Amino acid sequence: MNQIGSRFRPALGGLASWLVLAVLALLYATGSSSRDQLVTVMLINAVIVVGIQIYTGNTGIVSFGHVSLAGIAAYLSALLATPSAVKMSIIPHAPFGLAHVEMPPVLGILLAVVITTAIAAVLGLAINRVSGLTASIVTLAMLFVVNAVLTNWKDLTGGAEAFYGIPVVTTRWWVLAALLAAVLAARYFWASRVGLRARAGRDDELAAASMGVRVVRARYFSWVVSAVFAALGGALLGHLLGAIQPGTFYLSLNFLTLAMLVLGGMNSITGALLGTVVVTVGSELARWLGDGPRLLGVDLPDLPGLSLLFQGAVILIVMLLKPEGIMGDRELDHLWRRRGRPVSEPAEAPALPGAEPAEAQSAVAPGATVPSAAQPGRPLLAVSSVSMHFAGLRAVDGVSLEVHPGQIVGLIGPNGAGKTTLLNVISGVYSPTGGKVTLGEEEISSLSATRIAWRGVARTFQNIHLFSGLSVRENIEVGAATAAAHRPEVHRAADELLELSGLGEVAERKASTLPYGLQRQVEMARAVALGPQVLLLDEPAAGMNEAESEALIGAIRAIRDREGCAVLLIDHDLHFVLNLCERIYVLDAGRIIAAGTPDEIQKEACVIEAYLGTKAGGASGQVQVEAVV
Amino acid sequence: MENVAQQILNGLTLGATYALMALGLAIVFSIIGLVNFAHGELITISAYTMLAMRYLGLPWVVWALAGVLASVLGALVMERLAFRPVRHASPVTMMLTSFGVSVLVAAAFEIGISPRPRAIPQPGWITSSFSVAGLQLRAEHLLTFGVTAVALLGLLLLLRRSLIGAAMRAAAEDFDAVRLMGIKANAVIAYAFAISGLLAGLASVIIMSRRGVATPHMGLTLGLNAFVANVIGGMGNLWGAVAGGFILGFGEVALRAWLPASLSGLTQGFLFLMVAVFLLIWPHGLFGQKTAVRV
Repeated sequence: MNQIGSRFRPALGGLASWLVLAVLALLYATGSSSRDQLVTVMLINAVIVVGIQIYTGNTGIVSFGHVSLAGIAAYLSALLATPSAVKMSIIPHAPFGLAHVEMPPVLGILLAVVITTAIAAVLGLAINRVSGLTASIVTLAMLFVVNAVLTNWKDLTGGAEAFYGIPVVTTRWWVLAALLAAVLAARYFWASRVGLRARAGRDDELAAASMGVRVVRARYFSWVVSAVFAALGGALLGHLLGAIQPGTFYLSLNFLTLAMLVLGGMNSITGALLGTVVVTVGSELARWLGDGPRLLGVDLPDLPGLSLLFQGAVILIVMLLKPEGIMGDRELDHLWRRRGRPVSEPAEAPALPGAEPAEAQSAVAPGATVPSAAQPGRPLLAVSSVSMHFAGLRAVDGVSLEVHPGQIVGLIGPNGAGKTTLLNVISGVYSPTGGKVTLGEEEISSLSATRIAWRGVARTFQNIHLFSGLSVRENIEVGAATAAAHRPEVHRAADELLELSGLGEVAERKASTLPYGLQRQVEMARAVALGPQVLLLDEPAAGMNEAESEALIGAIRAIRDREGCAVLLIDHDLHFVLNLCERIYVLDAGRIIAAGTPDEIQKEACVIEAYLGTKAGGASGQVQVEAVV
Repeated sequence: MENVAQQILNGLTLGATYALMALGLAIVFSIIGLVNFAHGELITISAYTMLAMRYLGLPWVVWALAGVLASVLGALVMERLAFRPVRHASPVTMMLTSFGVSVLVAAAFEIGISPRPRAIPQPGWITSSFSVAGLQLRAEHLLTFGVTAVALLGLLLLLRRSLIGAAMRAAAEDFDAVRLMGIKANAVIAYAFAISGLLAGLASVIIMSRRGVATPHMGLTLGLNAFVANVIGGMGNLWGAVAGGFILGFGEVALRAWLPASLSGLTQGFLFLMVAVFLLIWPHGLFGQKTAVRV
């Protein structure tokens, strides 16, 4: 993909979807003033919905709070721009001398957006600390609190009664411009590094942290950017209606915007626009029916809640039939892109990474320092007397081991021996109960998983943790972005990494659609993208047949040679571990019971037999496959 | 001193109501991971059933029983029609489904009954009071304490002593393991919903005897306190939810007593602000676990 094309694609794609909506809106809004009003309100709702999409789409957190941000902005702009003569009658005792302020509406709107964004930035500190469903509940609480403040701070807002006399200045053109800005911002945020990190956190918080992503921070940025457009929409709405009340920005607007977002698909900006149109049309029809029209000579009864019923039904039906919404995570411009390129389905069991690169290796980087085998000198990674206790269970109990630069070290032992726990301690998922882990000169056992990743410790997981909604390229870019930010000397472009890992063919496919074997490859490529000093692999050969694990040996060696990194890996396949590793530790019940070269370990066959229950040798691969899958 | 004791009594009463609602929410969440936004609507359903009983001219006790029954049935119907199809979907899908149900139920009452509030007269005896050791004890307090105590004890016994209770506790830990033991998933989940409906129905009877009016949209507002109680206690922790409910109740009563009258409308606002600060320090709540994902 060429650079310029990819830089402007969000702009062109956003422009295209905006243009379709704008043309439709202008075609419809050429008649009566009620039609004009309906279209302008719909376009404002689109601004708010795109604003919500920036947060919800990137973080996966459904927000009920954006509507109240729109309300805050509408009231602020009303306070700043309404003629003081009007304010003297509604809010004579307004604090901060606001009753006498009278700004040009444009300035009022801009200032309102700035102040609202600042308020959101403060509230976001608390809201984005929590994740997932809890965060949704907190945003709902925020909706109630803001409504209570708007209703009860009578000196400032005039209370539950209407705040009227707001200069009616919002035109359709302003709103279209605001919507274009919102759509472009949403598209660029989506494609940005922060957006990518937020989406990585959305799909898998644990894996994101292990790839050096500060999830809370990425969520927070999404929140602040999205607040800008929710606020802009709210301020514009106030200046369109001319009179607002706290109820304008409460439950009904919330139900409406949520139905719009959900119908189109939370992960698509085009979807936000499409959902806005469909739900607006449906709600208007329902309202017309509910007003008791005369149809075919019959007077229908008044049904006041019909448009609400419609919105509830939209949400429910979408969730039951197509939870990802109409657009899923596609955009308008993806439709013609898809057509241009034939989608090639890779074979189920593809060639492993490295099979090729391994051979090409010596030509590519002849100068790479590849220390061979176990060596004296300073260890790169040192685990000293590390313990990890969980409520009385000693999962790891005083383990010490060393990994030297460029060394491939294996960790074996029966199920429940504490292997994965040890890996989790090293990578910072847990902080150890006792002992310490040092990387080079630095003690890392007190650092978070994120910061350990920044220092070049990369890992894979026993039960694959990919960013399932991201493409293969994006999965790898998450790692590359961390390398670029924290260890620029090892950063490589995603294209290069894709080529090295042999995943170029499937680069644009969504990770969750790949077969198991390829997912494992992507996970390893993602870890390599970090430009690791130490690569931790948790059962890389799980589920592989003998030929595949043979190829994996070549692949891991190739990675070690290319990256100059050390590798610490866990596996049950003894044949694999004995052939690949230069040094092996045997763990049982949380303690190291043997350590040495493969030869030495093989001689301690009694240990192996006792703890693995299988004979060391060729057949073990097959047996273990069943045990592990 | 007496004033403080009286406030404690009020805090206990309010907290007990929140605890009942929060507990129902927590039971369902702990088993299938659903944050049920339609939980508050069970209270609405129960309240409108009481209203119907009133129009039939039946005595209050019948209203109360019918209200509780309607809430249980409502929970079971919701589970069967809306939540079972999305049981294996993502948590967000499940939550939005319940949100859709919540909106639909509220809209149905708006269309079918009226958007306006409807009165459900309080029974005469509810306001009768007597003083014990200088405390004004009202029948309403006794009703709340009695119902809450019986419900909590009953639930404790059910969870500890019965097979289905053991299955529910186990399901909260690892649902697949429970199914492998030959327990029907549908049965466990239906029981969980029935219990959550029962608790919501009991809460509704208490709330209605105090509040006296039903509106189509009261469910979401009432349910919110139950959600927040769960957040305080740590999502899915049953006794955390109860503790969260009481903390909210005491907090609200204390704020109401201390805030100047001009700010009384902001009681809930201040309360939630305090919860936000609390979350900054303990993002996983009192008894919540740090992300319990297996790696």
